[in-house]
Amino acid sequence: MSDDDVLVELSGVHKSFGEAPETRVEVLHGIDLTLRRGELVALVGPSGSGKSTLLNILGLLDRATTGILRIRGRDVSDMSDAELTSLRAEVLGFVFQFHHLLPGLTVAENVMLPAAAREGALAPTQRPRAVDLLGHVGLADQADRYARQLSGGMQQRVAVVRALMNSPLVVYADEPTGNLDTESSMRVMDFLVDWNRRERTTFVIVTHDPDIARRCRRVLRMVDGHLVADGPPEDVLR
Amino acid sequence: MLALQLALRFLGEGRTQTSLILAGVTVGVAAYVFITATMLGVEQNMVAKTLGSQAHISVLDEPMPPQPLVHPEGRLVLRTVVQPEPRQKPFDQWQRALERVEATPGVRAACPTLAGSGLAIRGGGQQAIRVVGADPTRLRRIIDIPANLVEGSWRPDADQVVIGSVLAEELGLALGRPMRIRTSAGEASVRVVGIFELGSDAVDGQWVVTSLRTAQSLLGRPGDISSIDATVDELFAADEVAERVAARTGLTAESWMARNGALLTALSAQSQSTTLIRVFTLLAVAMGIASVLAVTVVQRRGQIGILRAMGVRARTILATFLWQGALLGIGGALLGTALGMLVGGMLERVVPFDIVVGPSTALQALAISLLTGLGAALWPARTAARMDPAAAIRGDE
Repeated sequence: MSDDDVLVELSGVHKSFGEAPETRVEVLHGIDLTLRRGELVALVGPSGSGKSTLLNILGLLDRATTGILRIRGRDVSDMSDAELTSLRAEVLGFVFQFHHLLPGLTVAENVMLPAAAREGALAPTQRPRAVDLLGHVGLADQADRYARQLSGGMQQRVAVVRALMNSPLVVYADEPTGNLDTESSMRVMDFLVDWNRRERTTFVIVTHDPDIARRCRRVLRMVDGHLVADGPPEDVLR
Repeated sequence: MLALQLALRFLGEGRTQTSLILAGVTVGVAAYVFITATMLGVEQNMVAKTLGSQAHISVLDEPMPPQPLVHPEGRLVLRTVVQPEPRQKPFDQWQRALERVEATPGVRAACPTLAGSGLAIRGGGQQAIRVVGADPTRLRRIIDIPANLVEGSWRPDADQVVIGSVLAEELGLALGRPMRIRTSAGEASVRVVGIFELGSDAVDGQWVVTSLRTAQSLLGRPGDISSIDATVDELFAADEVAERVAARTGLTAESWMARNGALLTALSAQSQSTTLIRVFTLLAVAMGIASVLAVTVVQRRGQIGILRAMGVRARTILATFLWQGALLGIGGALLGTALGMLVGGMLERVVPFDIVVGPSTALQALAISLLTGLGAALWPARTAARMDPAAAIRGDE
C-alpha cells in the first residue's frame, strides 16, 4: 500500500481522565497507529484496556490529552467541535453495541440520518441509497416500517448500513455484534467483510469475540492502555 | 429543517407523554385566555357603564376670580376678598374654544353643552331634574342617547325634550305628553318626544335632554354654554389629551379618569391580581414543558449521542428541543384559545357582560405560549446540545 492510502495516523497519543494528579487515571499510554484504506481491523483486549477510549479518539468523539491525530494528513488536534462534527459527517461512520435507532423514524429514515446531518434535512433524494443499502442486509422490504417494529438483530443490521450511508472512509464499530446471537453476528460480519472487500471501506471493529477478530485481516491487541500487538490474526490471536 | 423534522418525530413518538403535556399547556392557555377575556369584559362593562353618560373630557371656563370691594366714600378703602355669589359666569368665547378643542390631537368629537338644574312638574308630581342642552348631532357622538332610545325619536326641536325612562315612569310621562319645567330663570312647557335608558338611575331619573337653544331659554342663559364635552380616540389616554386641551385653550379640562379615580384604582387592582394569576398559570405551563423535555433528554441520551456521532451539529440538537417547546407552545395556544373561547361563551350566558376573545387576546396567548414553550425548552435543549456524544452513548448502554 502506498502513503496515499493512509487515512488515519495516531502519534504518541496519551489519554488521561481527571485533573488532579492524585485522581488522574491514564488510560492510553503513547499509542502510535496507522490505518490505511481498505483495512479490516479488529481491536481486541480485556475490559478496561482502553479499546473504547481509543475508538472514541479515532472517531473524533473525544480528544487526546497529548499526541497527534491526523486524518488524511491533516492534524485535527486544533479543530473546533463544529469542525470535528463536520469531519465526522464527511468521512466517518459508527456502529455501536446498542443500535440507538430512533424509534419514531422509519427504517429508511434512520439510515438516511447521516446524509440528513450533512445536508441539513431528511430529503426524498436520500431514500434510494438508503433502500439500496437496506437491500444489502436483506431489509429493503422493511424500509417503511418503524425501527421499533424490528427485531434486535434486524435493528443492528439497520445500524450497520446507517453507518455506510455517507460512504465513509472509515467505520468504527464498537462491539457491533455484542448484543446479537451467533447467527445474527455472523450475518453482520459477512456483510462487513463483503463490503470492505468491494468498497475498500476501512473498518475498525472492537470485539471480545475471537471468531469475529479472526475474520479481520489485521488485529490490534491492547493491554492496560498499551498497544501490545499489531499483526495478522494468526499471529496476534495465538 | 432537520431539527424541526426530529422535533416532530420525537413528539409523535411519545404520544402519551406529548398528549398529556399538550393537555396541560392547553388548560394553562385556556385559563390565561379566559381570565384575560373575562377581565377585559368586566373592565369594558364598568367603563362603558361609567362613560355611558359622561364625556371623556369636559372643558370648563375658568372659575371667576375673587372680586375686591371698594368703599364708595373713597376715604377709607377696605379691600375685602369675599367668595363670589354662586352665579353662573358666561363661558367666554366658547366658539373659539370649541375650534381649539376639536383641533387637539386625540380628540374625536366635541360638543358645546349647557346643563343646569330645574324641576319637572306634571300634575301634582314634581321631580328634580338636570336640563341638558346640546346640538343633537354633536351630542350623540359624546353620549349615544339615540342608541339607547326606548321609544320616540332623537330630534328634540324647540320646546321638545327627550327624557330618561325612570323620570318618565315617576312622572307618568309618555310620548307626546307635555310637562312643565321650572328653573331659576322661569317656567316653560315642553313636550316629550323620546325616552331613553342609559342604565344609570341618576341619569335615567334626572336628565331632560333638549336642543341647546331650548336649554338656553329654559335656563335663562341665551347664547351661553356650561362646558365643551369631548370624546377621545384612546379611552385611557384621556388624561394626556385633557392636558393638551388645557394647554391649547387655557381652560380647565377634566378627564373621565380624573373624575373616576376610585374606578380606576379598582380596575388597576383587578388588573394586577389578574396579571399575577396569569403569571402563575404560565409558570405552571413552563414548568410542565420543562420537566417533560428534561425527562426526554435523559431518555434520549443514547439517541442524542449517536446523532452527534453521525455529524449532527450541537446547534441542531439545541434547535430540536427548542422546536419541541415551541410546538407544544403553539399547539397548546391554539387548543387553549379555542377552549378559553368555549368556556367564555358558556359563562357569557350567565354574566351581564360580554366575554370576547378578540384577535389581540388570541395573538397575545399565542405569543406568550410560544415564548413560554421556548423558555421552558431552553434548559433541556442546552443540556442536550452540550452532551458529550461518547459519554451519551456509553451512558445509555
